[in-house]
Amino acid sequence: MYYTESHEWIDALEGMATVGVTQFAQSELGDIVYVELPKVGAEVRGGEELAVLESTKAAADVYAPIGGIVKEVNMRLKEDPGLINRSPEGEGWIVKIMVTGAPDKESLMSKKSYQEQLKG
Amino acid sequence: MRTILYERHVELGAKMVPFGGFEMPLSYEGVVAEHHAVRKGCGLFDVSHMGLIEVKGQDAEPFLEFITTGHIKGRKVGTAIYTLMCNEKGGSVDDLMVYKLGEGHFWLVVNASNRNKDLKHIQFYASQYSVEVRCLFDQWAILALQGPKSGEVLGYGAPKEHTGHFVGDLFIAATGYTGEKGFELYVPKEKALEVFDMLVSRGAKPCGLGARDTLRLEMGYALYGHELSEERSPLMSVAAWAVKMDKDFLGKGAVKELRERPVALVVEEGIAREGDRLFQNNVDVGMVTSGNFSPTLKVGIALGLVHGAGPFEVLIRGKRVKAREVDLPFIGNEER
Repeated sequence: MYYTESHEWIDALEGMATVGVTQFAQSELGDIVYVELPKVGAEVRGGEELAVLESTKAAADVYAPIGGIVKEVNMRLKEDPGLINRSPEGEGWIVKIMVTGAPDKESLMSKKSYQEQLKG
Repeated sequence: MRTILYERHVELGAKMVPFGGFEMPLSYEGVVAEHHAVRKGCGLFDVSHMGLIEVKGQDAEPFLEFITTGHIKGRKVGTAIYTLMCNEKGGSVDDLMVYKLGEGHFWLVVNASNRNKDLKHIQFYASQYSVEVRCLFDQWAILALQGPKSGEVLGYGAPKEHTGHFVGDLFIAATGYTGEKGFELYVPKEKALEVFDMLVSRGAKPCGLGARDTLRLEMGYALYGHELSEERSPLMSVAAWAVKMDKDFLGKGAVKELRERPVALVVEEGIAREGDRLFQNNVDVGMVTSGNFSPTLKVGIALGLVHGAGPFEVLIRGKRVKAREVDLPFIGNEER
């Protein structure tokens, strides 16, 4: 698992990878009430907006941890956006991409580094 | 600043946020859960950050008749009135509640963010009348108990709707900002924790400012700083009904300059937010003053100010989305 500074996680850096937001992110956002998902087939570069999460407070962008092509979106989030709050790192995954980009070692962290970053 | 209940909110796991100079609970369990609790059961809000001001004296009634846009003259003791104060330019100084505690004896409750400004405004104009203005900020805790089950939770002493009375040393008013049956309790500071805990133990769910906002938005109630401001006439707002043009009041002459009209919109997709521009036929005709997700309708709703008629589109994060104009309140016209 890899993590970004902007609180996304991705479970692989090549082939098919699943992307979501972390426990910390969902807790900061509060109740997520609407999710704007990308279109299947859309191409994104690392660091570009992949999806948008709307909470009662504000909208939050989900950025692609790495470049790729969107292959699947979590349709359950259309009816049940709160799934991200309940299971941000499991059933509340947001998008599956086919990785095409090269990983930017500067911006991807291990779980340990991410957790340390949260404390500091 | 902190209200007397600050520690309790933290103990209950509230997310605290700054509001009007105070650290207030945004939510405990979550905005949507708390919103539904008020619509279906009973919620409890700490609103002690609001400003309590006492106006007393033989001129109290004529003074308030002049400085507010409401019908204060001749009202019965116990009446609770939602009204506004204007500035000389015809803009809104604040919206507020006026409680008639007795002949020549009133309590005013104003928004936390405006309390110092309002006090100065009231003191300035009161100098021309035989009245005493007393600042009671932070001397009473204010609790809002709201929801269809609020009567049960309160137990006894419930006043009739839109009135208030003392029950022992608590002042209880049948008023609120949620659209549900409910009460606002004014509790002497020393008893605040005891009363708060008692109401929670009787089934009231602690609710924060997040739910307070989604609840009032569904009813189309104005929030100062969004629908009301010093620069705009209250006649250009959803609170226009509270401006009584059949009497004289400070700012009345200037208030009639209508330019825009308030509008209530249901967004077709996504969520509109304060500041989002509104378009009619590709022309920018106004903006959203408040917007959020409606937990009851499960759709984005918004209040705005526009020139002219629709149909409208709202510009949300660079994309134009259709919005349907509706009558207020947003809810209550279908099943609850």
